[in-house]
Amino acid sequence: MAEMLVRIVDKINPDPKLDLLCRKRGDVVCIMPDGHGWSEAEITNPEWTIVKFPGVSRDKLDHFIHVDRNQDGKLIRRCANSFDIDTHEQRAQARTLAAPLQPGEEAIGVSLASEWGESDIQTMTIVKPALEQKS
Amino acid sequence: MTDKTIGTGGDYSTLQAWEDAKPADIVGSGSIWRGLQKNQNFDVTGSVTPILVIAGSTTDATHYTELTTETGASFRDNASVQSNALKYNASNGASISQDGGSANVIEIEENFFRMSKLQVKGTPTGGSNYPTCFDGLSGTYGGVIIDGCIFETHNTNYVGRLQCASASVLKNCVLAQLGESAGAIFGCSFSTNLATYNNSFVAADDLTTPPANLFNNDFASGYTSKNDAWYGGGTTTLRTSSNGTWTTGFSDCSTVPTGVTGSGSFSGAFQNVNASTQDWRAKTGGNLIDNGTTDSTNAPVDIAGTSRPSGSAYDIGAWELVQAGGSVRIPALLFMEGYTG
Repeated sequence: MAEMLVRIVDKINPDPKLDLLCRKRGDVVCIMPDGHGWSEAEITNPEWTIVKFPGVSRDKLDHFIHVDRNQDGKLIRRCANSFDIDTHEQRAQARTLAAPLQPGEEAIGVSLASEWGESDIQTMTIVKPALEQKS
Repeated sequence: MTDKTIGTGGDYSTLQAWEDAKPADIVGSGSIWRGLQKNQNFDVTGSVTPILVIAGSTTDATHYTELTTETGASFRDNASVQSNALKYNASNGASISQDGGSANVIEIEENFFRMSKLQVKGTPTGGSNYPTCFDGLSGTYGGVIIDGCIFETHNTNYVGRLQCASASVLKNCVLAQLGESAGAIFGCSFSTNLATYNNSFVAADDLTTPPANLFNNDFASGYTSKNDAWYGGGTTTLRTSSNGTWTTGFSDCSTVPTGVTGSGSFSGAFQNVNASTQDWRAKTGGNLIDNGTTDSTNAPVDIAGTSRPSGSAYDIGAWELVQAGGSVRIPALLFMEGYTG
């Protein structure tokens, strides 16, 4: 029962040391329970998307928010494991829609068990950010 | 100032989203990226990752990341702040907590980060190597200021650690160690120019195995302590290394640095010193009262917002006891038009 806020645009710092600590496309910002009340800024920010995994426990996805440390335990990279947003989005598109997703549309994903080895991860939903201002 | 509220109904619903949304170049943005946490608890259970990592942005002394509370949301804004037990209590104000797992709550890896008026608790169960409530391990940052917070841990690891590379400050905070066999309450090994002012570093008096030391300052350079209270129950030696400059500190330890008065009464200093009933407000007539050094730069008010001094001089530790004729800070919520009290 989890939903992930995922960065889809690289955050860039010209300082290479600081840049390693900035999230990139596919890096997960946070994982929240099913039905989490995302704010309007979180839903509409074009640099983020929300991926939903109904019925999947949070601990199955926890590795996506692991940081990367060196042997001394010091933080060296913001995210140790990225979510392959490109591959999964393509799968979702191929499964359900002939046309590319439009802002605000959802895609129903396919089983991801073969990729992750998790037999109980069956579906996901990618919520595209609503880029238009709400009236 | 770029203020963003964090919590239900706020600009961001999670701390992590607020942090990720900050500009990579805060200096170039010309502002301060300030997060105002609402009066709610952010809790994560069973993770091996910090709840919040502050890192990645270019900052300076006037353009930085700051995490504090919305007006009225802090424990110090609580109408009963003078009578509430001084301890972590999510019912009293905005809080962040981590249960289970093996990670710290907040990891600080960014220059000039500031945090204030929050409550943080860590209760890890795993074999964590990291201090529980806050940790700055990298030794690459400086200019950090942590002010007026309550930290509590139930673990063998430190409550907090700051291994800063340049001047940073911890002030007017309570760091409460409730875990058995802890290495220390607070650590700053390998730090440069860390200063601590008017904090209460405490380990519950009824621990079966109190901390080996209260403070790990191995290889620290330029450490300064003023008006800090260091109490550890059965702990006999305050610090691990003989460095630093200490001024008007008080402790129940028998082995203390010059500038700290040791062998003080623990139960005589605070309202209640046991883990289950802890209350780290200074006690009337105790050795923390009116024994501090004036420090209008770092401690003009205490953790509850009470102006110092209330008595004849500053009190030691985070709490300034309100004495007859002294001022009491009225929480902002009571300043309502027509309020007659």
